[in-house]
Amino acid sequence: MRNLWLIKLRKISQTFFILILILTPVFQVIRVYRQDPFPYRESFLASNFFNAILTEIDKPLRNFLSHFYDDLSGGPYSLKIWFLKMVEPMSSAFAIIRNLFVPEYWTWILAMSFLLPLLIAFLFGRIYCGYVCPMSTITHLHLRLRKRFKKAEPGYSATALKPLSTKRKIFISILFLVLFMNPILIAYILPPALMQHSVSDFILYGGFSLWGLMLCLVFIFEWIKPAYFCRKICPTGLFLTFLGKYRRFSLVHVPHVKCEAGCHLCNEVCWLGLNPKTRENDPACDLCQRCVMVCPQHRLKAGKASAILGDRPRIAKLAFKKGQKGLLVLKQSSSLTFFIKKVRGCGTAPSSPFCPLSRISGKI
Amino acid sequence: MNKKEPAFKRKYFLWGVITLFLAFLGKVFSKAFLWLPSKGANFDYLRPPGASKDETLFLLKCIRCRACANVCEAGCIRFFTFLENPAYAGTPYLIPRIKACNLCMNCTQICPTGALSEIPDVKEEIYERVDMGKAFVLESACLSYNGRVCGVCRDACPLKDRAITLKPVAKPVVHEEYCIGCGRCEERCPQLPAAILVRREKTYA
Repeated sequence: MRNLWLIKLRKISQTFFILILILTPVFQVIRVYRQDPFPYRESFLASNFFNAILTEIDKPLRNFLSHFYDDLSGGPYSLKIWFLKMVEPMSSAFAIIRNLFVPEYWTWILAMSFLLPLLIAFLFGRIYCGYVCPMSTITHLHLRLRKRFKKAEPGYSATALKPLSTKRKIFISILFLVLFMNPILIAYILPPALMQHSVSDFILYGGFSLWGLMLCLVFIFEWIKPAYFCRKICPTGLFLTFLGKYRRFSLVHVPHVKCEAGCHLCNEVCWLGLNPKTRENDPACDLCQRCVMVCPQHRLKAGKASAILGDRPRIAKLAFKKGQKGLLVLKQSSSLTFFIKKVRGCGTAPSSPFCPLSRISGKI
Repeated sequence: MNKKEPAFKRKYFLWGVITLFLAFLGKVFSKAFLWLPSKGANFDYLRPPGASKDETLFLLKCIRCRACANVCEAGCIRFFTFLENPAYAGTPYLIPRIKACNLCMNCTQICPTGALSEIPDVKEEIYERVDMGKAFVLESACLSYNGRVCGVCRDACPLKDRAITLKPVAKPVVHEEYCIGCGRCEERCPQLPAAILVRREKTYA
């Protein structure tokens, strides 16, 4: 069975975050209107027309919507729903680590908005990118338009993610250090912050700022190289990918199901340029479920990562006792080989006696 | 199987050491990365209620998320742009002469970082803990000190007859121990330019 509810969840959350991006500044204008009709003088919403409409509908708005816009404010960068307050995970992480020795800077909101995404990243990996970030929504839209009008797939797809070269390692470390040291720059790079700031600038204060300019640059870059920003540059994506190495819930190949000959629809459809046909449990996967939808053989599935069984022999033994062969089909995915190479000191060869994986597979 | 555990522990210990080292670096160098000219901007401004008096601390705490402007009932909160001062860009301020604070305390309750410390919407708490600035009267410009009767600032003040009292005839006197610096007196002052100013530091008179 395909997990259709996950796709529905993704679509609902994406539309929700795009909507609040635009609606919260408008709510703010309405909220302020009760006190003063012209607080934001440069805004196009502070026109006579808008005020005339507001005078007509202010009372019903007050009656029906007051709870709604008391309980919802912010945007994808910093959100408040009812009592729940969340900040973008990486900026909160940086703020917490930077102020580690100054406990009075800590707030439980910052800590929670750091720890909850951390937990989510350990469970589901890079789910923030696919489900919350409005940049991914725009990238999806762009790719669909490209397919519709240019009849062309993005050039990067169906290629496996290469291991990090030294150049990229240096780039990433410099980027992270600069962003970590500087409390300003992060708001000028992250797309959710850019969008929230530029939209609220436009609606509340009636103009474009440097955030709008940066957003335009990001969009132009997106037009030239589709999805390159999300794949290679976005620091939050890199951060979550790094955490997603140890994830428990990921894309899994259903055992004993073979692909159709020559079919690589899943690779074509993947917007992050991953290789779901041969690589399950990829740390960069954001569980967008496109490949799952497309697969004609129902071979792909979102579930518990089978590769982790290598690290958890007890579960593997249990499965062996119960005779669930499906759980014992172990594949050497990237994270596992990385783990074995780094920690155990043995190579990729499954016959090595030091490798726990080979022991289990030997029992089979 | 048991041999694996010490390797794991060593790995996590290393990560912990790296995090602590980064935190140390951040504490030492993050102030250096803030480009701080002696003055924030070429105009006078107030920070929203609950902000710390030390500007560097405030800049380090604030993550520029703009949540405060999205809940402000008075619509008084504005933001520094990059051109005014790159280090201050995106941080909230207000100019009381344009729009004064309403003391609704929404911004302090929504701030996720503690840059604006949380203050409940209770009269006594607000009077105690809010300290945005202090008002002071320019006696040479004030109407009441120049032979007329005004007293608008006293009527505008939320701490009527405590922060601003009138001595005969209708001459305003500011008591700094009560003044919370909301800026309503400056907003309502009929003189042009305002004869009563609210500033974080006493720069005039």
